[in-house]
Amino acid sequence: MHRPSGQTADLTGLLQAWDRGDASALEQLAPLLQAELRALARGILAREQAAHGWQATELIHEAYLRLLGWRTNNRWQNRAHFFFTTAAMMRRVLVDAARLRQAAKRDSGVVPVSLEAIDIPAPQQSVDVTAVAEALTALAAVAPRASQVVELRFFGGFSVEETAEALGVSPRTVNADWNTARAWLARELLRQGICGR
Amino acid sequence: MDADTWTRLSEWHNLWLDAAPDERERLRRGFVADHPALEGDVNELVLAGSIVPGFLETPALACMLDDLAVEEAAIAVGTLVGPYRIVECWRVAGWDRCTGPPTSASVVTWP
Repeated sequence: MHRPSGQTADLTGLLQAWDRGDASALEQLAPLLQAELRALARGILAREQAAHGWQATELIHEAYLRLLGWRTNNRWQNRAHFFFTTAAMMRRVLVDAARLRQAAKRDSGVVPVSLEAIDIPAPQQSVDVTAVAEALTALAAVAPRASQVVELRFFGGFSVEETAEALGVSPRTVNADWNTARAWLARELLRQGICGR
Repeated sequence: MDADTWTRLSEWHNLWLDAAPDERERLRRGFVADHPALEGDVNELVLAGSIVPGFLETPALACMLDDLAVEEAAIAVGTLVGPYRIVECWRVAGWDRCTGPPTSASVVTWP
């Protein structure tokens, strides 16, 4: 994706600052990533309207091609570092976007209806991303590794194998954490009266 | 719940998932007999897994594609657009209600 040189320099500096532990850098990175993902979503849906279907795995792949574009300006320490960094960014950005949309729906008093969602089959799922993120924070206090598994798999979109590589455990361990964490999170959301799939 | 309890529950839960359907109730009863304080957690985990099958299987990005694709409101309330002033946002996707001198009627704009 073409960017003005100034923006590229900003991205490089922000990614490096976040790498060094500067949490405030994420505040500035989030809107840039959100803009990337919004453009990606519009592109995907435009192609969908032109009768080209999409799959969740292709969507994730395309999203990370964009992020890998960022990587050319940043030195990831290793693949695990890339997985953790991008999953954390995705969680932050997607939760922010979900909160914005929830606020917009409340303020406008109407429920926006997506034309694309009406007649085009796509692997869309109903899930309250904000509620999942909050429950995940609670899970982290009890089972930190299982919480990381969910962050990498659900928010990062990474495979079992990639998640295992990031965490330095076997795929079997990832699957075990994933199974129980999903049931635990579903229970938490059901307790709050929030259903999702 | 503490970390040790989580570990016990998770080990049992995965055994239960791997078991044949007719074995599962025996496993549940056996675990509850050994850990009576966890009966509520066991039952709720089993129930939650059955109520929301496929939960979180679709990545968050795919779940939010429609929401991400929606443009933010392009024109703020109060903005003058030619002779018109935006008085209300009807839809975040773009429809705004305006009034103006030509007709004093409400019109809509599509940014």
